[in-house]
Amino acid sequence: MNDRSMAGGMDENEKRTNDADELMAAVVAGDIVRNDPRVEALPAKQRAQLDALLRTQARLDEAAEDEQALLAEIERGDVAPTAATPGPRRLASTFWLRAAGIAAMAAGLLLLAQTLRTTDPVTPIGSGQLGSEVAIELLAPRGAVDAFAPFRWQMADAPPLSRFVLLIWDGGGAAPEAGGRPLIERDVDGTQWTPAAGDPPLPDRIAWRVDLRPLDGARQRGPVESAWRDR
Amino acid sequence: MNASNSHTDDASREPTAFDELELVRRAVAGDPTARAALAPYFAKVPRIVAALCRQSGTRVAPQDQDDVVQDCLALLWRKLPDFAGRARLTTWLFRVVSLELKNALRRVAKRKRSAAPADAHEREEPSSSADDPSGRLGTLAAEELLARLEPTPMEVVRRRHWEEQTFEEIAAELGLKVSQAKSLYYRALQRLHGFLTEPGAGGTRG
Repeated sequence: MNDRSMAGGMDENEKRTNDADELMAAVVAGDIVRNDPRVEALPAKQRAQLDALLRTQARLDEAAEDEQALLAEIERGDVAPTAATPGPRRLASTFWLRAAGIAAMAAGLLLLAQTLRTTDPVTPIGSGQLGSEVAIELLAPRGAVDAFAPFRWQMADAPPLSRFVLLIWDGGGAAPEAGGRPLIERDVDGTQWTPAAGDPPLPDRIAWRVDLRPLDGARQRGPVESAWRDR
Repeated sequence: MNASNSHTDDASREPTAFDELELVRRAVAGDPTARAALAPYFAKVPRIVAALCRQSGTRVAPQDQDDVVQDCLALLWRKLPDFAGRARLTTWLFRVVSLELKNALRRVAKRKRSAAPADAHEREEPSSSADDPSGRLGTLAAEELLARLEPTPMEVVRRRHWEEQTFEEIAAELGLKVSQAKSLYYRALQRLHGFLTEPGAGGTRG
């Protein structure tokens, strides 16, 4: 077999692998059912891999259910602080004493940490595991304000021809990073925006974010600020 | 749970993740009122520890459990600035404790051994339910597995299974294309399965 035919053979293998991958991805995404004829036609090894992924999915679903069940117990107060090695008498007699003690301990810890934390900056809202924020400074509105508009921000060293994306959420709803849908999302050329007459009315409490949209790059997430009408 | 209502006009309203994010932000900045409002949340940590120990079959002597709780409280405070409002604050506390419980138990045991080498304390390592292919994964094992993923794939898996979001919702909220979200999810699932089948991890075979 010459080099060309060997390369052709590898390409064919890669193509088959990619096709199988696409099929398996479609099944775990729920786009194709497991007993689809195309899936059944996969080699046994790949069908076994797919079944293993489906079992992993099921175990993740169970883990999510377990978390919800435990959280519900915790919120209801059904779990005693020493449930791991329970002595029924001890739990009954000391539960609230221990809970109060822990609450006091927590408060004390917070106060202690407050005194120790002298230079630790506030982590900007919205920063987190999905990547670092672009350095846009949100100027207004912030905190208690008479009126939200105009929305103003600034960015030193903004890439040339960049645009910004302004997003505004209902501050009483899900946090922006928790997946709340924005009430308003606008591409803005400058560093200021005022709602127009046709824009949705804003609630009394909002969260807003400004993202950077460079001319030739992917949108970069900016910081989040909150504001509310001071009545 | 009305810990964060002190800064809202409607005291009867259930606080949202946004309220809690704002509360945490003010507490981290040093606002004493916000710090006081956080205390009821942190007071749940003993129950979280107890629930996780029970679920994982971990036996901890009562005196050790208090130490573990203190260890977790200190850790949670250090991590508090990382709270980004993606989940409710209690859920976030629960997940951090889930991830750190084994380490907290080890730290407490180490301190105890240093203080009194001859003292044998009743404690068992939390068992990872991943060891049992037919059993449930368990909260501790699930958190450990998710923590091994990159942040965005982890978020996709979390939203898909824990929040029961569609891929369209996930993609929209994470700024991805739907096809990207599905691809990330597929790769993440492969990695999670790989983790479960690592030597010593047990889990599903094949």
